[in-house]
Amino acid sequence: MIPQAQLLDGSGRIQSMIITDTALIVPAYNESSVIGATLEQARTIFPLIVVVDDGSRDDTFDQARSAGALALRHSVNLGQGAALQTGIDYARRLPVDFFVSFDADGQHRTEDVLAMRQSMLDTPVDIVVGSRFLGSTTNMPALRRVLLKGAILFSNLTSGLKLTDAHNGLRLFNRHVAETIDLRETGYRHASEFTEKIASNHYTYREVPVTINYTAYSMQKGQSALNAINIVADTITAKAVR
Amino acid sequence: MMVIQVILIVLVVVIMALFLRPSSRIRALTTITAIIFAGFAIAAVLFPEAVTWVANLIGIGRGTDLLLYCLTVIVIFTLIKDSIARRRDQQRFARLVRQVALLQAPAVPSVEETD
Repeated sequence: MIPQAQLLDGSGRIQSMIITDTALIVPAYNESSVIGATLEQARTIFPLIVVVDDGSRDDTFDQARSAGALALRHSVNLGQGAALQTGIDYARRLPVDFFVSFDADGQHRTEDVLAMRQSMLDTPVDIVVGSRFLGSTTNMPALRRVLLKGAILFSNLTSGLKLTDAHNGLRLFNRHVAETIDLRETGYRHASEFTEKIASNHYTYREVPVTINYTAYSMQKGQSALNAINIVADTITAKAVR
Repeated sequence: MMVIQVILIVLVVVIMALFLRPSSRIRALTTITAIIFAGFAIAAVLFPEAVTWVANLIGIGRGTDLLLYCLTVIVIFTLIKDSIARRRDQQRFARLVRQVALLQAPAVPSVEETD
């Protein structure tokens, strides 16, 4: 694991690096207060950013477009899973090798994306998944930690995967995954579905430690700690429903 | 005849009339089933003892209990059927909205790359 300080020391060099073989895919719903800053920061390294505005009632779409992102818009709100899939469908048209699912609210860090890409380049796999538990997480509440751990244990038992983090939204994947993932779940369930597809589509995968910034904004906006219970429920019902 | 019997029979007839109106659309089997069902419904209203008699045959004490059990099963069945249909509709709707978004998507930028 790379120590935090080393990453920070290297930031001057990293800032000047421009990566055009990787597209960031950012689903966004009512994120106008943060998306501008998130995109501005990310675009210094990754100029190719696809934002899918999921039928926001605010000006997320205009913010994204004026920040220089390739902005798409769902005419009505469908859910994060649908927005991500639309973003993947569009990003496939871009001349890139790698695709990243990236949050609009600033909880993901571009340094982590760089590390994930480097890991992919060093030893190719289909998908590199970020893990909050291999890395350090800023301000993860204790309850959330305990619930997530339980959910991961359960998710691994049923999927046969060996992951340390079940619902991490930060993932970097190759074109094979982008062309075959086909998320059907429109809502929050897509995170579970993504994990299930890694198993059922036999994607090769690796986890890389990432740091999630649990800011006041992302806490209020994001799913509650009880989402861990949803992960378990999803895993059970997914087998029954599909 | 009790007032409630009149009300129930009128209701059954009205519901059938509404249900069967787009008759060309409904398959013959559905129509026949519906008419038979209406017949039983009216018979049950006129002769409640008959329902109790059927209930006793299968080990249920009262006719009203038999109706309650049937109703419970029908309601649950309908709920499941509807939720499956709604789920399918949502997926089709999502596909439509996503297609529109992709049709209106910005042109793919040309990336100045050397490799």
